Amino acid sequence: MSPPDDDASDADLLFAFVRRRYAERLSAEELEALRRSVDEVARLSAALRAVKLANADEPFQRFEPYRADA
Amino acid sequence: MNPVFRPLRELADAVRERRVSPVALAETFLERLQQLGPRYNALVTLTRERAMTEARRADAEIAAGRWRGPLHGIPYGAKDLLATGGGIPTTWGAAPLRAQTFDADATVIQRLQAAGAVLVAKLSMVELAGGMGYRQPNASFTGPGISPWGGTWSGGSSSGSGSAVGAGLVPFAIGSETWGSILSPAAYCGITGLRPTYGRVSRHGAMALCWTLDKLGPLALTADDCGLVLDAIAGPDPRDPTAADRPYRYEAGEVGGRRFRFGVVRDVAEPAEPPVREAFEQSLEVLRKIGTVEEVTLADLPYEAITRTILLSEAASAFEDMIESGTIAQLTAPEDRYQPYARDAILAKDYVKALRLRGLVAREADRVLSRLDALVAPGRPATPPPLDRDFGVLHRPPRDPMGAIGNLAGLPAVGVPNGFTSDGLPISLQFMGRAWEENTVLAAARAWQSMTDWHLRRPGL
Repeated sequence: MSPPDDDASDADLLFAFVRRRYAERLSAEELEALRRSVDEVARLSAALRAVKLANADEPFQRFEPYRADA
Repeated sequence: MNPVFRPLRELADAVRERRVSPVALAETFLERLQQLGPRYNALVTLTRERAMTEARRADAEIAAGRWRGPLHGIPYGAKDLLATGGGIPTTWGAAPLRAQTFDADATVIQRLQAAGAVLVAKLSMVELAGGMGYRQPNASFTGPGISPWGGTWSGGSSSGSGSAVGAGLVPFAIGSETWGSILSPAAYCGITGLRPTYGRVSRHGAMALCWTLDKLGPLALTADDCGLVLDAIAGPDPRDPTAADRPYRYEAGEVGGRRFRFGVVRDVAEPAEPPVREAFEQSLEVLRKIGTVEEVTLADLPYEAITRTILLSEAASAFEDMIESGTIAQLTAPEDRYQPYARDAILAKDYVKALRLRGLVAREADRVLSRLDALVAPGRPATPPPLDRDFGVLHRPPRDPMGAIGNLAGLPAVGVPNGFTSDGLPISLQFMGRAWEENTVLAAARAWQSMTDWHLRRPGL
């Protein structure tokens, strides 16, 4: 199959990556279903990117430096 | 006495007063599990030898006047993602892991043992706790979980924990929730389930599905039962850095006369199926007898997309070996054998964005809950589906914003029975509270169960 063209959507490009990694393990039917799952990932991504955040909005997950003797 | 379908306090009194022995209790429930467990695909491993050893020890201790508390001598089952030593398999519901064993018990199992409870069974679950994206009930090597009510799906991923309690095969069980895995089987099996605050219960020794969403909690007949179990399993654990240093004691005081402040998120029941919506509207009338019910609004955020992005990303990492090696091809649900590959398409910046948005959600939920005792909502938006339902493609499940928000923000919730459909299938109601307010939501649930008898209905077995 030829690579995605310049007009390919994000989902097309992402699916091309996924397909390249796993296609040999999958049937045509499974690949088709996998394409729908990648489309879903693209929808999730679009929903997240639609929300604007401030620079100060940090990940809600605290990192703590580690010391074995602390 | 017949110990089946008895609340924990009744069993505890009978054990403490030596009207029934822990050995007799263990034998009764082992027999029920063996006879009826396969009917519901609830059982993975009957832990008979361990159970009888623990029961005999409890017998001896109680005879010697050393009663440990309300769980002493009480049988229970554990979702099969909790590690158990002694050669007892811990399968995670996955065919390729049927023979998996661990050297030691999970912290929760250790704490229940310290409380004197008797492990009688490892209970079935959706393979890898649903982390591969299953879209049908038949997603475990033990077969689809079956509810004792009507033979529909038991819910998941704590399928066996739900159906075993619902069928009276164990007095209580431990389940886990990442998104819906305690409240869904509680709802579909007509029982009570408690999802504790994230960090309330140590997850050491539990299968990791999603490190920042996984929680362990009880499924039982009543809210009071859930409180008694939480009291035994909660607390800090140096082996789980997310287990909060917040000692917990269940407050089981009388709720009669207490007034609650309930909130209902605008249109929260809108996506629910009609029987669920109708039952929910009726439940609000009951709740107005014990408090106020006000409509609240939440900021317009993509709650479900945030939670799903975190879940999919972390699960892809947690099971990287199984996915990359192709071991997932041995899983039961056909879609679990390839869907995880799609997660390579999630970009790191989107995962980090989801973690940043999580802060907004946590603050927004707390803003609303700070003025309330609990948000109330349908326990599940859907009624229990039939076993052959494809609930991902042809029948996309109703939206679940409460589940997304509650799990994303790590908030406690109790799911309680709230009636039945015209076909006799159970419907549920949930009380979701502020972080660390398990006692508040349990009090609200006890008040609810003092005014209703849905939790006293039993399936015809």
